Amino acid sequence: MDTKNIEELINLLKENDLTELEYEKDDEHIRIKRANSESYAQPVSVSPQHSNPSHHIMAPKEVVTSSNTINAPTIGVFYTAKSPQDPPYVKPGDHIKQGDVVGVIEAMKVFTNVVADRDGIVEKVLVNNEEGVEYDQPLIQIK
Amino acid sequence: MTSRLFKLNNSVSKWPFHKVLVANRGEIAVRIIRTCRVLGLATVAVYSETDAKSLAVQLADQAVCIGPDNVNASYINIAAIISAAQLTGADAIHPGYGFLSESPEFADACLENGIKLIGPSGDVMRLLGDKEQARMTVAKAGLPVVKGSSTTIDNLADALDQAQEIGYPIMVKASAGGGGKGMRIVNSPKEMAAKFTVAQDEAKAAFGSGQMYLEQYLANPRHIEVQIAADRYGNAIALGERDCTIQARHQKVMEEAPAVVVPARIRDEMLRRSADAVAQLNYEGVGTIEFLYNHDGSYYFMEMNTRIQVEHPITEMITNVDLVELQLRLAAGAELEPQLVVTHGFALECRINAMTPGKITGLHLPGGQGVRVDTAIYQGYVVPNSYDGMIAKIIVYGDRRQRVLQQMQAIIDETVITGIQTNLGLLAQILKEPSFQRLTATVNWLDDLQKQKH
Repeated sequence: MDTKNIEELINLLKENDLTELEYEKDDEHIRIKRANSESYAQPVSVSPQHSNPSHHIMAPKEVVTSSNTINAPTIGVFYTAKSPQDPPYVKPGDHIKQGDVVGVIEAMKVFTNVVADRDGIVEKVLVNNEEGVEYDQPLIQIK
Repeated sequence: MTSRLFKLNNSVSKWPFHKVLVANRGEIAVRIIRTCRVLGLATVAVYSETDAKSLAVQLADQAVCIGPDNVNASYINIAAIISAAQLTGADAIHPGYGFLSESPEFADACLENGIKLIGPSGDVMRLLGDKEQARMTVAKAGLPVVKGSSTTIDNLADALDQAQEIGYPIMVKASAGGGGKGMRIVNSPKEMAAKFTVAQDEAKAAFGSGQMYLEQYLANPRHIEVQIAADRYGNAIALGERDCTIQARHQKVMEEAPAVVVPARIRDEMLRRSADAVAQLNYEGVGTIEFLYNHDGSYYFMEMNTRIQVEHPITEMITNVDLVELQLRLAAGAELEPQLVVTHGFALECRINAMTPGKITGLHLPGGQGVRVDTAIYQGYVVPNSYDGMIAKIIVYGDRRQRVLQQMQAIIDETVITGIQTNLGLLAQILKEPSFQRLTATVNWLDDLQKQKH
């Protein structure tokens, strides 16, 4: 990608009043962020918080270092393997393909497969076996 | 506050549940969380992806994302909500209004999973949720009902037959319905042929059932409803009534309490008969019996809502009873002292609706003596496109109706919500209309008024 394309991306960001833009193609990965977007004439949003701010239940959630994750398709209990006797669906270093089952989530005795939405290599499984997960919580980090 | 409602030796001293999951969103979720916090009950907010920045999420002790924007996958997803309760250790669920609040399947699922639903049992919901069965049940329990079809109807031929017996004009309704969907007024057999299928298709799309129901149509009634509460021991009380006549396309716009059009003698009878009827239903919790009221003083049962009502604050103002607290205490097993609850003063509620989605860029909410605002919006909040547009309720309480109306006019004029379009202008207009001020409006009045102006 040459600088002209980057300029185009920057204009796109400005025109649409975005604060951040990410572009990915083949091995290129560009992220453009507008500095100090707060200085724009935005109304101050005040939202009340009480002294004991709510925390999301399924803490401790891993801090995700990349947006490259497979997320929970539903709320429930996450299982890394089909049964305690079976080996885990995936472990770090595994090559996975789009459509592979990488875990399963149980909600009210209904099991929902967690399916990879792209190819990749498993970098880290972010949630332990039998841990509760929220909808859209990152489960598996891939690279 | 509510202690005087209960038998002294039986007020609940220890909660049988400690953490309440609020299976709703918007102002009612905030409303429920507030009372729970006063009572020392922990709260869990559940939310869709769209509502991640909602006030309820910020105010609750815990918050769980249960699904995407679409309500089928989030707010009415029974498995997701039960899971959220199990994962957080919530041992009670408050359903609010709308969504799963009148779902017998949800009530059953709570029971099966050992979670206390704040509301009546699935069986009672099933009975009262079916309009035909509900009508027969309350008729047996002593409430007057309009003439209606003896069974649910799924084809035009039966509709024409039954309509002949009841007499025109007739209201065609979806058996599973509410909120005006699948409803048509039919004046003749010819109109029935034209409108029945349309209403049925609408019902199928909205509620997944084409079972229809016919009832005698009262041309110009007012909508009067009675707030009731019942405990699991068969005691029931009425907490005054509300006049919800001001409606646009069957959606309430303004509500007032008490219903000053109803003469005291008839009012007392309505309240007593409502409480007596509910005492026979194995009902637990609060509920609302809706009536159509004619100028001649006759009134007919329309339906019973087995949940907290949007307009409950006006009843709270004139009774000094926190109805959400009452729900929680009844769910905890408190025993009511049968009594005539005395009301005082007058309260009016205006529902503020967003007419467009978007970010609220400027916000000024009113205040003053007797003013209450129930809302979940804040400056910078983005009103989503996906959910009901009701974003705030402004309530005024005072000693006389005239004075309350004047104060409401003043504070509606004062209210500022910018960045989105709202119905504030319409509310200001209604408040100035003589038909509203003089209580001569009927449930069709606002629709007719808007037709004239367009």
